[in-house]
Amino acid sequence: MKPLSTVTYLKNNAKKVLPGFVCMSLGVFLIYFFSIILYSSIYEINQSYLNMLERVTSVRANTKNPISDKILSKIKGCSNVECIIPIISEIGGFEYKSPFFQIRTEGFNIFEEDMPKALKIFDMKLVEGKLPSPNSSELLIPLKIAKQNKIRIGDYIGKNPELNVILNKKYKVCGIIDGTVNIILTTNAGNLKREEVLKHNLIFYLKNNNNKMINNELTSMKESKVTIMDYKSAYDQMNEVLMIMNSLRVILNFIVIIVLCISIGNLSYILFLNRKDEFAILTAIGYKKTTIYKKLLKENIALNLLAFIVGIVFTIIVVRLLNIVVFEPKGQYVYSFDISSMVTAFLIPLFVSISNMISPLRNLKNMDHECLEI
Amino acid sequence: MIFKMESVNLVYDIGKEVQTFALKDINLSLDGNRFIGIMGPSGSGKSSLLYAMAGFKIPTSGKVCYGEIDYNKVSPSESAEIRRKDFGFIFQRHFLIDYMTVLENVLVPINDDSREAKIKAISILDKLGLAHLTSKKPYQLSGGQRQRVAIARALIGDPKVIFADEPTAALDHSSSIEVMKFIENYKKDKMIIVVTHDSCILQNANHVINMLDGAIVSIDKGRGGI
Repeated sequence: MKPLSTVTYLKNNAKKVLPGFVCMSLGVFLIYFFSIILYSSIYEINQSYLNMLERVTSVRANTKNPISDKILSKIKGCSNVECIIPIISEIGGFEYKSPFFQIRTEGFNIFEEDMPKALKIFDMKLVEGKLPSPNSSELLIPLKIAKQNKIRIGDYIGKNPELNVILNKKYKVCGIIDGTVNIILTTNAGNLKREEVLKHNLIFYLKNNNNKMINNELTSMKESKVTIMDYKSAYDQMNEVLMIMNSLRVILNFIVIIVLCISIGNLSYILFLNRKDEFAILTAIGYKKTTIYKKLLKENIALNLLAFIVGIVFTIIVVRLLNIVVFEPKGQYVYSFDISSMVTAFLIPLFVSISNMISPLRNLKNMDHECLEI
Repeated sequence: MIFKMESVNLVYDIGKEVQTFALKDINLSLDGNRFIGIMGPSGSGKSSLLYAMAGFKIPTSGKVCYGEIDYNKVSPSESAEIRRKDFGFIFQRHFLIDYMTVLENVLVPINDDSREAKIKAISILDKLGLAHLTSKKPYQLSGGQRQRVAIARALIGDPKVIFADEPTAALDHSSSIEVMKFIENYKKDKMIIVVTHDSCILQNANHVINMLDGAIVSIDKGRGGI
C-alpha cells in the first residue's frame, strides 16, 4: 500500500474514524429501515386494495336500482373484456395489521363457477384446505390473515372484534390462499340468478390490461348511481395517504441528513485539525494542495461508502431477524431489500461527504507553512 | 548558478510603526554540489534566508531564482512541484506522520510502495542505523531516531538540494556529529544547505555564511568560493 493511500490511512486510524463511521452506519440504518418499512406498508396497502384493482375494474350500483343496460351492454360488448364476475354481496372483512398500519381486507360472495377464475385473475393459490362448497357458508382467507389471527382450517369466524373480523354472519374457514392480493372469498348464491346479480355488482377482467379504454368510456358515461372503480381512481383516492407517508419520509430524511452533516462534519473537522501538521508537512515537501484535497476526499468517500454498505447490510440482517422473530408469526412481513430505499439511504453518505469537505477545503486553501513554525 | 538572490528584502509588520527586517538587502549566488552552512544568533534571519531560497517565503522586494526559475513568477503548484522533485527538507522538528510506520514515513515524498522503493528506503535507514525500526511508529522512537527518520525522508527522492534547518537541534552531541557525517556524505552529489548556531556541526562545510540582523555580515571563503 502506498503511504498516502486511502487504505493506509483508514487501516492505521481505525479507532479515530470509528465514531464517524458508526454515526454514518446508524444514519443509513435509520433511513433505510424507515424507508423499507414504508415500502412494505405501501406494498401491503397495494395488496389489500390497489393490486386487486390493477387487475380488475369494479362496477357497482349505488342504489337498489340496477346498473343501466347501457353500461352492461358496453361491458359485455367490449372485445377486450376477458371475463365478468358478478359479485353477489360484500360480506364484510378483516382488519389486517401491517407493522405500522391497519388495512381493511374485503370479502366477496361470488358464484361457485367463478371461484377458480377469480383465483386465477388475482394470481392466488390455494395453499391449504379446499375451495368453498356452494351455499355452505365456507370461506377462503389469505395466509397472512390466517397467520396474524391464528385461524386454522375448520375454525368458525363471524363478528370477532378480538380478531379484527367483522363479517355479515358466521363462516367456516375451508381454505387458505396466498398471492399478491389480500381477498376473502365465499360462495353463497342461494337462489339468486347470475344475470340478476350481474345487474347490481360486478368486476371484469381485461385481456390486454394495458388498454383500459373501456374504463374511460364507462367513466365518461357519468352515471351517478353507479360507482366505477378502477386502478386509477383507487390510486387517486389513496394518493392522499401516500403523499402524507412520503412527506413524512422526506422530512425524516431531511432531519437525519442535516443532523448527520453537522455531527459527522464536526467529527471530521476535529480529525482534520488533528492532522494539520500532516497536511502542512505534505505541502512543505511539495505536494500540491489539490493532491492533498483529493486524498482527503477519497478517504472521506471511502469511509462513508463503507459505512453505507455496513448500514445497509446491518439493516437487512435486523429486518430478517425481526421477520423471523416478530413479524412472520403475526402474518406480517417487512421487505429487507428495496433499491429505491437504498437510493434514499445513499443520500446520507452523498450529502455528508460533500458537506464534510467544505471546512477542510477552506482551511487547506488558507493553510501555509506557518503551522510548521518555519 | 543554482540559487541567485538579488537585493532581497523580507520585511515583517509592513505598515506598522516598527518594521522588522528578516532579510536585508541580500545578494547571493550559490552553485555546485557543496556543503554550505548558514550561521548566526537567534533572530539573525538565517532560517528566513534558507526558506527564501527554498521558495517558502516570497521576499517583500528583490528576486530569488532557482536555476532559471524566478520564484516570483511561478504559481504555488509549480513551486510545490520544484520542492517535491528537486529539494529535500530537514526541519527543526521531525514532522513525521504519527499513524505511519518509519518505512511509510520515509516513502511519503515519493508515495511509492514498490519493492525497489522499499529497498532504497531501508538502505538509507540502514546507513542511519534505523533498519531494525522500519515497522515502528514515530511515537515508539526516541527524539534522535525520529530526526534521523526525517533525514531519510529528505533523501529518498534523490533531491538536488537538501535544506536543513537546525537538523541536530534535537540530538545530543555525539548523535549530531554522526548525523552530520551522514549528511556530508552527500555533498559530492548534492548541494547541502544547513542552518545552525552550532559551529561544531559545520566543521566540514565548504562555506559558511554568517548572518546578523537579517544581513550577511561575512562569508567564510576559506574552504572555497561563493
